[in-house]
Amino acid sequence: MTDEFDQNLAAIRRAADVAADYKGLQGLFNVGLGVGLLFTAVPGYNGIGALFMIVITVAGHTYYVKKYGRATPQPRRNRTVIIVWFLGALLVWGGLGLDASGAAPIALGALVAAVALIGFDLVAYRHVGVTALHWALIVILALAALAPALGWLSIGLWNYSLGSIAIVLVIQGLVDHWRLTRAMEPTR
Amino acid sequence: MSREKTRPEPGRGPEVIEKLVRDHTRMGILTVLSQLQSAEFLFLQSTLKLTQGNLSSHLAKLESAGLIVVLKTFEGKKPVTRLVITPLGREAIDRHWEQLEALRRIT
Repeated sequence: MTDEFDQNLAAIRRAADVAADYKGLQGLFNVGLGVGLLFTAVPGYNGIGALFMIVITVAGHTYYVKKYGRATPQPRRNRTVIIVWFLGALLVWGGLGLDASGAAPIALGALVAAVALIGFDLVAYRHVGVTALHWALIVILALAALAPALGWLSIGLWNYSLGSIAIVLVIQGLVDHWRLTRAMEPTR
Repeated sequence: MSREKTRPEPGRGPEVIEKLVRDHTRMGILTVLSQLQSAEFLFLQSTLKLTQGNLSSHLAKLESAGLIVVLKTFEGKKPVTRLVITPLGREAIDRHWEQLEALRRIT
């Protein structure tokens, strides 16, 4: 088989991988969620947080539909992603609850979110792969969760956890958006 | 309000199907569709980096061979074209990838 033939096959596989993980690569959703959580972490800004979350998420959805069109995943894959996301969100919610009650000297919400992100990333990027940056973000979030044990924290654990999760989601969302736009870029 | 129209699929012989699938653009279309339940025309155009005319002509060939189904709907006044791979199309593309893998192992 020739090099050109192999390159064509590789391009087809890449396109199919992006198609299979299209939903996961729509990073503006995570950016919206992250910005919303970031505002929610700041006392007195909860309403604005929810507003930002809705505006950015809807704008992101419209952008992807208009720019690249819709693709419906296989029902089984869709179910798996939703279940993993829901379980992850439930665990993080529990962790944040423990942070609010001050049950531990570390940010349990952020720690649980780091674990949940491992599961989510492995499912959402099953075909395109989890990048080194995604793994680095998970490690940074886990380390950030342990940092309050050093005793320098001046804000509440709940706010700290939520803020850390939010920043990671925004960065991850921007990376995914960049991956998707690069993959869909027309050939020159 | 949305109207839906499905075109019928006249059958073709296995040799013709094999020849159709061998083309790398059509192979790309079927491979992408095999990963999804359905996709819009614009999505295929973006992922495979094809022009509108080029994609349309390949889709017509795949549709007439019964490898895909083209669903034309309207969202308001805007026409939307959705593509779905048929079981025959899935079988053809899976078999073609298997043959390529076998060939790769030999070479």
